[in-house]
Amino acid sequence: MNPAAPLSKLEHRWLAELVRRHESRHGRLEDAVELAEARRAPPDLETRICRRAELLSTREGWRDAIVRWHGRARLTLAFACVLALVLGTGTAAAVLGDGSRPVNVVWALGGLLGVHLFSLLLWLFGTLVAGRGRTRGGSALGTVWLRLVSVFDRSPAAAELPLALGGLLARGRLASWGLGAVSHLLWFLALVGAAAGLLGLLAVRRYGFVWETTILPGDAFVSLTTVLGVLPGQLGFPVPDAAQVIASGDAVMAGEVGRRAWSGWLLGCVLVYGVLPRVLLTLLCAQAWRRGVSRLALDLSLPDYARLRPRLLPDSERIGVSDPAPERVQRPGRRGHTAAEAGTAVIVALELGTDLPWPPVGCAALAVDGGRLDSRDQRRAAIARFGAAPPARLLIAIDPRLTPDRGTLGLVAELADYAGETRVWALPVPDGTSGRLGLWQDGLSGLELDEGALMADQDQVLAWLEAAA
Amino acid sequence: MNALLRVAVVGHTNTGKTSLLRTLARDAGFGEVSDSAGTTRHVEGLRLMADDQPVVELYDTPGMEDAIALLEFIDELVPPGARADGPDRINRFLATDEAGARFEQEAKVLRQLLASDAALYVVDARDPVLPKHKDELVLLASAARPLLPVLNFVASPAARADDWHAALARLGLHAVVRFDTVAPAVDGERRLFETLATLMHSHRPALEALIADREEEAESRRLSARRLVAELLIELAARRDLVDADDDAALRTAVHTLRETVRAREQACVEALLQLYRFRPDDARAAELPLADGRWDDDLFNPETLRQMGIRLSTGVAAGAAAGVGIDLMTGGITLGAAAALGAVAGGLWQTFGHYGERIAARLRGHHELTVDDAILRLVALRQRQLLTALEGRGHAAMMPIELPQAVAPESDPDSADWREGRLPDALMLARAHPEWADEGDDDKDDAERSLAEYLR
Repeated sequence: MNPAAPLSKLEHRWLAELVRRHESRHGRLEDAVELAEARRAPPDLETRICRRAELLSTREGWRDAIVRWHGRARLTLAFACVLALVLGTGTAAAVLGDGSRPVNVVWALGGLLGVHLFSLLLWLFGTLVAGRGRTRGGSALGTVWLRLVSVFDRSPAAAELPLALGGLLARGRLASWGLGAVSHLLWFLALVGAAAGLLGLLAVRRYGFVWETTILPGDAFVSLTTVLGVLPGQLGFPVPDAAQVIASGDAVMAGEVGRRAWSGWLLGCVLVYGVLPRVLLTLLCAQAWRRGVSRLALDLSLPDYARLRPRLLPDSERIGVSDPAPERVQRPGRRGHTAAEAGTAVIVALELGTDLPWPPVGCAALAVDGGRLDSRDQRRAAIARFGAAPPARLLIAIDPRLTPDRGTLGLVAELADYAGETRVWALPVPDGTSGRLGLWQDGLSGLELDEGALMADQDQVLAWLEAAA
Repeated sequence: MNALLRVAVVGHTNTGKTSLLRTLARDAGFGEVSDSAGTTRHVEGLRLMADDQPVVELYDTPGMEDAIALLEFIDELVPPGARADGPDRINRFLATDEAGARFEQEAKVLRQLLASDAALYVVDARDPVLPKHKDELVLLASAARPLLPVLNFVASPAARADDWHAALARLGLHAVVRFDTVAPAVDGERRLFETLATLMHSHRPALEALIADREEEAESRRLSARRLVAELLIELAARRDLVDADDDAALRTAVHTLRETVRAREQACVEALLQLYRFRPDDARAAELPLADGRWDDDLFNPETLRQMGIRLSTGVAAGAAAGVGIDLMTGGITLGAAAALGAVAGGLWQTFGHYGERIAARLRGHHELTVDDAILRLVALRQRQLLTALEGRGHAAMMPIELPQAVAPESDPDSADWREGRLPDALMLARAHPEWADEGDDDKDDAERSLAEYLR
């Protein structure tokens, strides 16, 4: 088999399962090249998983292992088919004997069909009763074949193959259909061999037919023969009539008509109860297998597959930086300080949340309320006012929950330029947390304010205002 | 289909623009996130894909920090009465020197906005609505691009979402999305893209494909996550260590080993879950399990073990019958039926004994089997359930790790009564009878995992 030949759907999924089992046990394989290649496949997760698995297994030699395994499986199956035919013929020969003894018809039929019917019942039981395909009951021949295929290659890669296949085929009872098809095929061939052997021997040898019993009434054999003969009789096989049956019970049936009738009955029974059901079941199982394989899909909910998803079918990718950060960032700073020793103390509010009271209790007597400085107009007005009458002490109340931005810090710097002394007061927050005080500390540190200009403690703030008054 | 939809993610500084991109892309490593102003100073793009087709390009931009001053600057540059429309005003500003100096950040934002089809305006809903925000919106609106405000941190008790809705409505922005980047609602992403689709009608099919793809992916992720937990529980339940009952030292070692194994196995599951949800490996911490001493009973006669014995017997019978054919051919067909029957029985017995012989022999030699206690299984299950819930509701911008408590309080997981008191699920009982499942799998273990994952739903 050509190792480069394209793989079938089943083989693709088999490889995927093989790789999954390997990776779940030994960690992820190095797959940078394979991943890039797999991402060129159509955008479907299963397709890409299979592609990745194929590439990885080509590298690891598993692909060859599967191809070899398949070749071996075919060879073994062919060998088993031949063997089944030969064994079937052999059974026929063993059952009929060399003609020196008369053939006991019931014993012969049991010998030809007994094991077959027994295993057929087991298979039916396994398929219908045990259900779910968990047991391979009755597909023993198929199982033996599967084991034989593995016997010849004992490398670790090959040991994983049937396990991975089993995992893949367990769902939807695929495995039992496949093994069933092989079992039925082998039985079919064995029974064809037996029928052929029967026909051949009956054609060239003379056999006498007899039935024997010690305790059963003769009628039992008459009805048995008749009942078993109904179906073959419908198909045109001769069936011994009651008189012939009774006669065979007393002495070896040697008459030509009787011999023909018994031969036809035996052959008809083998064909109708042996070959026919097996060929039908072979076709049924093969059909179910084929349908199952065509519907075969990986269980993508398996965590190992789900983890491959972002790598094979990414839901996002980074494009990169399109407009890089500037080398130097302009920070707000002071432009100059016009010291004003004389003047009033003013308190202003800078972007306070609506839940913070303004003006704060206890400040009204100590300082002039400069109002809220939120909008452009408020800010312009305040700066114009301070330009005309610089305050000696300026207290800027802030909301420590907000992030100090460049605009806010710039305004603080600008206001500080007009005031003699400036303090920033982080108002207490209703929920008691300190908010983003650290960010304010960092931001204000670039503004050349006095040491400790950021105050959070109300008493400290009031004390500072009082000192001015 | 139209060209790719390009969306600029804009907003005031420190409102979570990079966080929004992280969470939408499930990429916890994108950009840099910190609670301070101006963390992002560049424009960086991210492509969201559906079925490997790019659908949206999102551009992370620096925060706007000085909108009041910039608007004043532009008003001086182009007086409001002048015959220049919004984009003209912005282009005039971008041509000035200030656009590369004092207003460098804002210039980047506006430039990117002009190059995009739409913008998401990210708002920290905890902030009060201030005039500077209104000025920002005036600036952004003058770029004449559809603007979709996204209220971030709405899950916080301090959020003033209603204030923001009212304020945005006054500015003519009625379509507003609530999306918490740290704790996104389950359908948050869907609502965001759906609202975006109403603004960008020509891109609706692509956005709908994106929504469908994301939901399919989320469902498959949930399935896999439950499967991982199921695998953990099955393997713990299946674990069965043989110990010599009379040797105290050996016993202690065995108990210690078992505990270590359970801990390591749970940790491995946590890591696998984090990887599945694409969080960083240290995003969850499990407190040490308060492990009991393990179980001292033996399950040799638990019903599943017996049932399994029956199944072994039936496959054994089949193999035996096949062997019978061989025997029969050698004896010339005379003993056919008898040989087949004998072969079947022998085959069945041999297989069954082969499987249980070892365990029975160990029992006879006075060995004990050490297994993981039911209570531990229950606790691990509860903790993992809690982790699953936490992972579902966690955004990729979240910085705090998830803590898995030592014990899970009933009120934190109201649907947990089954796990607390009820009978353990059948799949776990099954696992008790399959010591081999602790290390390796077969079809039946897959089935058990599947059914347990279904139970975890």
